[in-house]
Amino acid sequence: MFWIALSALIMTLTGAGDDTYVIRKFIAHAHEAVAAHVQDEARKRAATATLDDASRAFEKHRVRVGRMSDCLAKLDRSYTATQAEYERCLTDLAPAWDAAAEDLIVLDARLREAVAPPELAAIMRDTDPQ
Amino acid sequence: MAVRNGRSLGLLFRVVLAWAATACGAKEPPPQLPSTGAHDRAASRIELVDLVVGDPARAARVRAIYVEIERLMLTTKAAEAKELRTLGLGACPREPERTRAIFRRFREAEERALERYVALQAELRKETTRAEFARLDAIK
Repeated sequence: MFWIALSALIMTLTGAGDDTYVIRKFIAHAHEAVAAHVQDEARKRAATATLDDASRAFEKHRVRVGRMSDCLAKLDRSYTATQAEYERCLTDLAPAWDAAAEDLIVLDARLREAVAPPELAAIMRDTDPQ
Repeated sequence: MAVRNGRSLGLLFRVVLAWAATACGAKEPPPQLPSTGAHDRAASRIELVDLVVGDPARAARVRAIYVEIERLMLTTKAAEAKELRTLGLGACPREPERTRAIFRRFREAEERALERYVALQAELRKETTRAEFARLDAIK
């Protein structure tokens, strides 16, 4: 999803790599907030599933754009690489981002359906990193 | 309703931020955007061109190519970051079509940069010998 871009940006700036610990911690914290503020069990399960799906969708998209990046990097090492080969590396660019947009729209709608506005506000407060 | 939509997008955006924060404790490099990888490779070579390309005129042209790639990708990152901020913070999109438009602008920024990048890669090969190209490639 779109979050690949931000994470890539920040990781580039920091020069650091990846570790799933922080995202797992955040998801665990969000789950706790949902458990604390969403009383209805069915809505609680729906909200939890949405958070999990958002995490999985991000990871999937990350891998997808990473394949394009790896393809470019490989061509960059070849003195005989052609424009056509470069273009083939990028054929998934538009589909990948279009799919990410649709994923986000669906997940956003699911989250809105899952929790009531006051519950959402409370979850936001609890998961605020500040 | 509009506020609620914005809040839910904001919460999902925090998932994004949490992913972004995974920068700590690296084990292996994460998947990158194509423009990010392109930037990294060019930036690491700018100051070292003169050590590889002996002819001053060609060296200047090769360095200019790397500089243009670096600036192109940084400009692209700025444009992409602006779209992400629009999506995740402040005035969140209220309608799916607005979300699609933001993603489209993001993707178009990436596409424009990479289109120019491919042309610059062709220029790079014209300005270097095979041996020079290999030595530049060896710079990490």
